[in-house]
Amino acid sequence: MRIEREATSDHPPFEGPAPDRQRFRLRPHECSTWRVLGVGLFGACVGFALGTVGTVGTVATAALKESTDTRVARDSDVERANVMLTVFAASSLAEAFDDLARDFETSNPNVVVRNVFAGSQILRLQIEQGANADVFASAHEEHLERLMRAGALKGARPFAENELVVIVPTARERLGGLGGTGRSGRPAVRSFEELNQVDRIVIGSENVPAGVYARAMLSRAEAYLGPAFVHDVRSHVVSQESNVRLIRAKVELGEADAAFVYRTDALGSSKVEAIEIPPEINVRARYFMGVTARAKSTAAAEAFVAHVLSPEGQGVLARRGFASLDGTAGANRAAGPRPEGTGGIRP
Amino acid sequence: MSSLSSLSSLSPLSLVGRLGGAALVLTVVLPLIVLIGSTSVADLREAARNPRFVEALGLSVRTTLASVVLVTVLGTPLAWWLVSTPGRLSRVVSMLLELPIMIPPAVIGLALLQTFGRMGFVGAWLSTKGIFIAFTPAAVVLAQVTVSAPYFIQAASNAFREVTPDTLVVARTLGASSSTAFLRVALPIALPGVVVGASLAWARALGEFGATLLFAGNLPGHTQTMPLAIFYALESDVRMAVVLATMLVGLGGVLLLSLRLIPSLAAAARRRR
Repeated sequence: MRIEREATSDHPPFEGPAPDRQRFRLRPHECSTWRVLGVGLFGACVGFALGTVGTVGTVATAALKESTDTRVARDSDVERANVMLTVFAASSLAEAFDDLARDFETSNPNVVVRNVFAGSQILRLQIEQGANADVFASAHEEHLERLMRAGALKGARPFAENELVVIVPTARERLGGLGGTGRSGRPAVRSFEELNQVDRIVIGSENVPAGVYARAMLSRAEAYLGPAFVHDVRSHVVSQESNVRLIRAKVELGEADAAFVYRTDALGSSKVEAIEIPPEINVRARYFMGVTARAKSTAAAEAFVAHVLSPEGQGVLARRGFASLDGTAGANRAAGPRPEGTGGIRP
Repeated sequence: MSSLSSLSSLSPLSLVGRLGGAALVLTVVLPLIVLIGSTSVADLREAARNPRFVEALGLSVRTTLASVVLVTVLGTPLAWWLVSTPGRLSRVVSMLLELPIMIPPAVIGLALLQTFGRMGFVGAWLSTKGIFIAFTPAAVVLAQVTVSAPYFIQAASNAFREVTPDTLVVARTLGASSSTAFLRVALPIALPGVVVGASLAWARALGEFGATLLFAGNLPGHTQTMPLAIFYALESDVRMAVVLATMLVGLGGVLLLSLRLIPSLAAAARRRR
C-alpha cells in the first residue's frame, strides 16, 4: 500500500499536500487522548506478552515434565505416562493408521496418537529438519535408510506390502459430469494394454514412493509391451503429484483418465475402478516403520510399532487391503538395528 | 511529524518500540539474508546449467508475462470504469474484484478446477469443443490472472482517482471525444500508478503456487513454474531448492527496486518536459 502512496503523491496539482498534513497533525487536546490510547495499547501488549510467556512457560514445563516422566516410565509402564504420540505415515496408510491409532488408544488410555499423513519423502524431509515425529512409517525403504544413516531413526521393520494398479473413473463417473456432457463418447480403458490410448495420465513425482514404483513398473513394461507403448504412456502424463492421494483425487475429479496408485487406494474410493497391471511387470511396495531418535516417549513409540506388527494390527491392515508379510511380520530382514525392548512392552 | 518523533523519544515506550521494531525487521529480513548467504556462486552456475531449472524459469517468465499483459490490457479500462462511474454496480464489482486477495490461493485453485476442469461448470462444455484448460500452461496463466488481477485493479483505480473530473471536462470542451480524453489525458496522468499495479501483479503472479498446483498440476517444462520447482526440488535436493529460491529472491529484489524507481523516474521525465 505504501508503494501506491508514493506513486500517487507524485501528483501535487490535484490534491495539495498541505491540507493533508494539517489533517494528521496532533493538536494539544488530542495529544492526551493519543497518550491514553497509547498507554492502554501498551498495557494490552504487555499483558498479552506476559500471558504468552506464561503459557509458553507452562507448556514448556509440562513438556519437560512429560519427557522426564516418560523417561522414568520407559522400563516400567507405558500406561502411567500421559503421552502424545506423533506418527508420521505415508498417505496411502491414512485410513488404516487411523484405525490402528484408535485401537492403540483404546488399549493404552493415556496415550493420544496424532497421525500426520503426507508423501513419505516429505515426511522424511520434515524429520530431517527437526519435526517432532515419534514413529515414521514409509511406503519405501529408502527414506528410512536415509534417516538411519543420519542417526535420526533407531531402526526399521517391514510391516505391510502393497502393489500398484491403474485406476480409471467408474462408468458412472465417466458418464455423469454436469448434464452428462463429460466425455461420454470416449470408450473406457479395459486393460493395461490399452493404457496408451488415454489422453491424460497422472503419476507420482519422481521422489514420492508411488511415483518411484510407477517408474520402475514402466521401465519393466518396456520389455513386455515395447518402448513405443511406454513412450506413449509417458507422453500422456499431465501432472506429477507429491502423494498418492493427490494422484487419486485427479481421477476422482474426472481431470485424469488414468493414474498409477496402490491397490488399497483404489479400494478406498467409490469413484474409481482398478485395472490390473500384469504381474510380470508389476512392482511390490513394501512399507517400513521405525522409531525416531528424538522420540519423546520411546516406550510408547515402540509399543505402537509392536501393535502394528501384532496379529490385531496386521488384521486391521489386511481389512484395508494391505498384503501381510506372509504371516512372518517382523521376521523379515530389518534394514538396520532392531528397536530395543519392543518385545518387552505390552501394547 | 517532528512533534510526533520528539514525543516518542521522550516516552518510556521508545525502548520497547525500538526493540519490537528491530525484532520484526530481523524476522522479515534475516531468513532472506541467510538464504542468499547459503548459496555459492558455483551453486548458481550449476543451477543455470540444470535443464529442470531452465525450463521452470522459462515457463515462469513466459506465463507471468502473458498474465501481466492480460491483466493490464483488460484491467486498465475496467479500473477506469470503476473509478469514473459512481453507483452501486461499480461498488459491488470493485468489492468482488478484491475477494481473491482475501481468499487462500488453494481455494482459488479448487474453484478454478471446479469451473474450468474437464467436469467443471464451463470446462465440461469447452471439452465438447475439444478445448482443455486444466493441467496446461493456459491453466497456469489463468490461475496467475485470477490471483494477480485484484492487485492491479486496486493500484490502477487509486491512480485513476488522482485524475480530477475537471481536467477531463476541459479536455472534452476542447473537442476531445471521451475515449481520446481517456487516452490522452487520464491515462498519462495515471500511468505511473498503472505501471506500479502491473509490477505488483507480476510479482504476485511470479509467486503463485497454491492455485497453480491444484489447477495446473505439476509437469516439468509444461506447468511446473519456479515456485513449484522449488517445492519439488526440496524433496530430492535441498541445495538445488535453495539455489532456485535465491534466484527468486534476486528477481523480487530487482522488481522492488524498479518499483521504487518508477515514480521518481516518471517525476523526472515530467520535469524535463
